[in-house]
Amino acid sequence: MEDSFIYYLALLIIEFSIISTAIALITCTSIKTRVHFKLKWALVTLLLGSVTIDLMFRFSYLLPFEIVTNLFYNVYTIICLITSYYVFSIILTNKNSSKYLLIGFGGLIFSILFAYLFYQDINMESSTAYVIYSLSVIVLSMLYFRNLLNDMKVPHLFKHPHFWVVCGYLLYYGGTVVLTLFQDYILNSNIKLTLYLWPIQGIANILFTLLIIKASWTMRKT
Amino acid sequence: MDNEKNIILIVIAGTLILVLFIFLIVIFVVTYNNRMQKRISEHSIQLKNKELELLKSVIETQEAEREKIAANLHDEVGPLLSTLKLNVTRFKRALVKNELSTEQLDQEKEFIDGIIDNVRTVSHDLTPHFLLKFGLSSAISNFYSKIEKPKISIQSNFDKNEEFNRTITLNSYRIILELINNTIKHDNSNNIEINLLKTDSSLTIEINHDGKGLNNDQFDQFAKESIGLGLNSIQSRIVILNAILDFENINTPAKITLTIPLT
Repeated sequence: MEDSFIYYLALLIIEFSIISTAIALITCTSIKTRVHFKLKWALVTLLLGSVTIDLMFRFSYLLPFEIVTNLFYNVYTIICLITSYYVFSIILTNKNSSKYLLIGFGGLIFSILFAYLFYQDINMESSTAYVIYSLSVIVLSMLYFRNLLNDMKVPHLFKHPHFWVVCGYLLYYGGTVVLTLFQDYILNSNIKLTLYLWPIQGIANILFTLLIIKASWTMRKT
Repeated sequence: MDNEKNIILIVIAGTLILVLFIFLIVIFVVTYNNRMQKRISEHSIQLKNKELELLKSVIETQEAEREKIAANLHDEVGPLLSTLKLNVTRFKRALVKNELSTEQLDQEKEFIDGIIDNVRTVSHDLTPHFLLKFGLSSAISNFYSKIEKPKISIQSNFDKNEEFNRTITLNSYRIILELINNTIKHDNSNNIEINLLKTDSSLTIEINHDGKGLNNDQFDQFAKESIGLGLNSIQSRIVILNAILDFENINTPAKITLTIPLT
């Protein structure tokens, strides 16, 4: 009884997560202003990747072919890596140290993924790369906040789209990094227990997309 | 069972970290807003102080100009008019005695011409009529036409009779004269070139000279230390015109650029 409740709750959260990602995608795409052109398309790519992979797994039974789960996760990590780092390269402006950090982290994660994809089993998931990627996003988000506090150039924080985007990143990756770290352990244990994993991911994703929607609204007004 | 416990612990840890980050963001927002508030209030105090300083310098400049005009009238025109009065009294006596000659009257006419010249100078100090009648470029040429050294040349990309509004004409003229006087007095320039460039949105005045020149920091320092009322007068007029004044002395010739928005 309890298990079925958690199962339906998890399912509900995942459905909400897909819907909120789709809404964020539509909101982002409909931004007309040219000022945040690059940021808009980077976020659209990220959300499109997220919604595609969510839908693919949600409705995998409808597909005529079998999904190689881990391969898709690795590809998804690469998409996330490229788009997120592009977002941070837009956000962390005028700071050479931030750029070096961005390149350093990006290079490290890309090397790990490259090694997994081409020299080891292509279908083996690289949670190591995803954890490093998550940690690097947390570090870059912290760096953004530090720069913001040092420069004090933004008069109204809540009217600044970059702030909402970075909040979204920090909450999503901050909230899921521990789960990602123990992902293999959780997935290898009793399958029922994996039900605990997805609601947290889903809630973090809903938070992320809500903050991206807020960022899109502020982008419209600037 | 152990597995379940561990997973629950992991989930709790994940949730706690999420809550921690939310808490961190809230703390960040509060700290940032407090700092920003403090900065805004400091900035507004600075702005008020600057406005007060400018007001003070405007008043000081006005007072200095009035003193100069008063001194001119008192020291030059006053004695000349007193002498004229004495002469008229002398002529009256001579006329009664029938001793007044045409030569004396001619001398007196020259004397009156001198007084007229003096009054014209004072009048020019008050409002340069030549400037308002013939325009900026002609007025500057006229002002420096009697000076042989340094050699001053003026070029402009607009017609000599081009009219700007009165505020721009008068204030830019005063700024140019003050800048050139300073260049002659302090920079030992031998050649000065003035370029007046007009676009749809701005009037740019470039002064190139072969003297030692100033940079922006030095100008600010001199103006701050109130070395000469001229610099304060320049600063006040720049504020009135909403203009930008830029000094460069890295390369030769040294350059002063005044950019005045026309819209």
